Amino acid sequence: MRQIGVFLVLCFLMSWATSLPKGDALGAHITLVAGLLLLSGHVIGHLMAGFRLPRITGYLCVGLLMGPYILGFMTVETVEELGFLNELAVTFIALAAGGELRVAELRDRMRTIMVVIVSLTIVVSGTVTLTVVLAQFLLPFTASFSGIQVLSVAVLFGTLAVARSPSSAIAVINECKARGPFTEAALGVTVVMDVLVILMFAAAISFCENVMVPSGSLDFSFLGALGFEIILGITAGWIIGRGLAFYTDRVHANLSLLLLGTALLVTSLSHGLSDYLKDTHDLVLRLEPLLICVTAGFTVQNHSEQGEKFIGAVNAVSLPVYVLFFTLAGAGLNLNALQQTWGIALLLAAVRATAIFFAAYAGGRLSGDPPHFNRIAGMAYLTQAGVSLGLAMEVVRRFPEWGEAFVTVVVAVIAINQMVGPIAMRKALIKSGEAQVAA
Amino acid sequence: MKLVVVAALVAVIALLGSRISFTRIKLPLGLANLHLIGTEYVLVGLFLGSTFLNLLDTPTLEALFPILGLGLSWIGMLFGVQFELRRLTHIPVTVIAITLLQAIVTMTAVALPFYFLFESLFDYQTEIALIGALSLAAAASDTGQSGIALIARNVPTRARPTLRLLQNISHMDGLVGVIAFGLISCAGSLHNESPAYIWIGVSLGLGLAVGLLIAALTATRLNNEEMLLVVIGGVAFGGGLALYLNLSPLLVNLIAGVVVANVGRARARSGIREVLLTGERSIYILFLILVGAGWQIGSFWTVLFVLVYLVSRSLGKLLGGYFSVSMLPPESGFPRLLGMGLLSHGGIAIAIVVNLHQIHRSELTDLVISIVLIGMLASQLVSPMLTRRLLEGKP
Repeated sequence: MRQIGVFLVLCFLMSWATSLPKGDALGAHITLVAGLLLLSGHVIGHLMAGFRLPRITGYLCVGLLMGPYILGFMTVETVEELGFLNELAVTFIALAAGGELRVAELRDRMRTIMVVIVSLTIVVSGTVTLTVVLAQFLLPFTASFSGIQVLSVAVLFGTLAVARSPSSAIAVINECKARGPFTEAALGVTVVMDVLVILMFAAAISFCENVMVPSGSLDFSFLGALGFEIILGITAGWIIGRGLAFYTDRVHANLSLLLLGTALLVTSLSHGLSDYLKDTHDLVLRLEPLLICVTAGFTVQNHSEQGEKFIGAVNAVSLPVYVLFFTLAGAGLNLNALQQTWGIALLLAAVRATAIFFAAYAGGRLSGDPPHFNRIAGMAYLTQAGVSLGLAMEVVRRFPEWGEAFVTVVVAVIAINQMVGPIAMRKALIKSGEAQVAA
Repeated sequence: MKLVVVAALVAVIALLGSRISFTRIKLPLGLANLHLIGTEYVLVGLFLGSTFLNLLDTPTLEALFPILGLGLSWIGMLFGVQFELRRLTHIPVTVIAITLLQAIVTMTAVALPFYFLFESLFDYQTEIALIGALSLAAAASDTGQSGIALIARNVPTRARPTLRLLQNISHMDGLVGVIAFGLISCAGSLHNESPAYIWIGVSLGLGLAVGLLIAALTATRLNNEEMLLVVIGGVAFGGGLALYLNLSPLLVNLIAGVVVANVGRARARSGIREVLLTGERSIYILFLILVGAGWQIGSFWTVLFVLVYLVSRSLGKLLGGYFSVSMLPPESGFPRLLGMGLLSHGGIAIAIVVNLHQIHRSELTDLVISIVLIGMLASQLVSPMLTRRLLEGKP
């Protein structure tokens, strides 16, 4: 009751303040919105926990409520202005994800992880691709496309369907304090697939570019560049990881803040370097901040003795980061897009979920996992967020004539998965017996 | 990208600086005092700013304004949570009276000449000139603790009561400045000419509401991560509301902090204080760097204004101390030149003028910041020597 009272007071204060003439202070609205999101996220997260739902579902709901489509405390522009917090959070969570991957523990689960990844990749991308081809009539922007062009768009949908959300997975795992073989496999699959999907997407978009230009022939030269980008990303991540391990060992003070700064710098420098090379040398080189940060976290955990201190420092400040990230994600959920495309979005989300359940079950069986794990495994892989959206925006950049319509559908599917995924994952962790929270 | 790289650079300086600053090192007394309050970071900021390297140029600084806002709000809340009424009742009424009197006299001594100067030399409206002069006066009223702390170890036993009095005054008189500035920020000319009393009520109401919200949220047992979340959220929400309405986040969060300190549960109070203190140094350094970067030193005339400021502030402190001690019975034994021990400048002064810059950006504000910064550097250099002379009984 107190939580609801506090939430109502927060909303009342916000509503009252924003109805008055705004002052001259620069950055006031951003500070105010950040405070509002943190406090209401905390309150509603608690409330959700009372209903046995993941807190991040509460954070998402808060964002949705405060965002442009319901209460309107944040406009689309405000959400964009706060985008840097989003990027910071994604890379920070990637650091955490890398740090959670312990080679010693993963070794035992490696077979399961690899088999499930292969199974999910083939089944999910294949099924979603096939569904899009068959349900082409629900996608008006493909009306004038030839058969092969429709297939290329379907492949893009199929590829994005493979993407997961490491941030949601880590947040739910942390909240449930889950530890054990099921959790390790779920986390391992989620993190590796997020890297894998970037490679798959690069191949898919190249295929799409080739078939959209009638005279074009298939060009796979991008694979060389992609390989170089991956090696560069891993090397940069390894160097940063060693640096962080050194700092943790020798200085340690303010480590949490240093990690936040590192996440922010990696994001900014990666994008900045890409832009710089493109502008000055017409060179396309995309360093993937996620890959760099996952590698950095992994290096600290597995190639130094500072892993536990590192994870401790990450956890000390992770809650505000999660709350801001997920509330902003909620505010960014495009309800208009969902309204316009709910038919195809629901269909794709349902097909994706079914394919994931089947693939996870089959993968688990093939690798010899216990049946009670296999029955619930699919529930751990429904979450979807950040990376898929980022990749979808690349489609807009490359294909401005139909990219917007494509993204609208992708965003709507993500909105559904984002709301359903964390709830399913929490249930899976509890049913696996590895969560330390009450069912 | 420049914004992030520069922000990261500033953050690294602040993080590493928080490890080595605010410590006693072997330097002449005046320089040690400058180091103790982190003056070097103002110079680092000045070096990074548009005056020299231009790394922290105006657009970059403006993009970092939310950090300044958060810093002000943090300082306000931290200041507020220290005012627990249960503990304040242990402080003798005379000490509180002396604190108030010397602060008010100092404010008057600084506000009068500057109001005259601002109105006669510049073309400002009466109310804007008054806002500038009163803001300067509010900043001047604050006494720094560093100058007193530096010499506290070597004070003769007979001067211990005076030392304690100086320490108590320097702990509390920032409150006068913050409240005074909070009231100034309610002036009609900063709010489309609407009556000031409405905004005073709004400031009080917001502080009360935010304080009660934080107290309610921390009434249940929270772990460290949740406490951090609630404190950052509360600080940002209270400060954000104040800034959004062109009010003082220092005052609104100070009130919120006082409410938390007196209404919140004991466990929550200590948890909140701990979180606020953990970030204090880094935020303060960040603050000093950004202030330094935005510092427009101004023309030769600034030096004259600084001289007027130093003279009027010193006069105010000396007169305030003199009047206060004169009202006490002779056996109290406090020296009549008590003001000599109150010349050190505190960090709250910088916070006040930065707050002015946030809600009213003009040439006058730049001048006020410059006067306070240079005045502060000068005060820090001489104040420990004067305090020592006072306590050794040879003024």
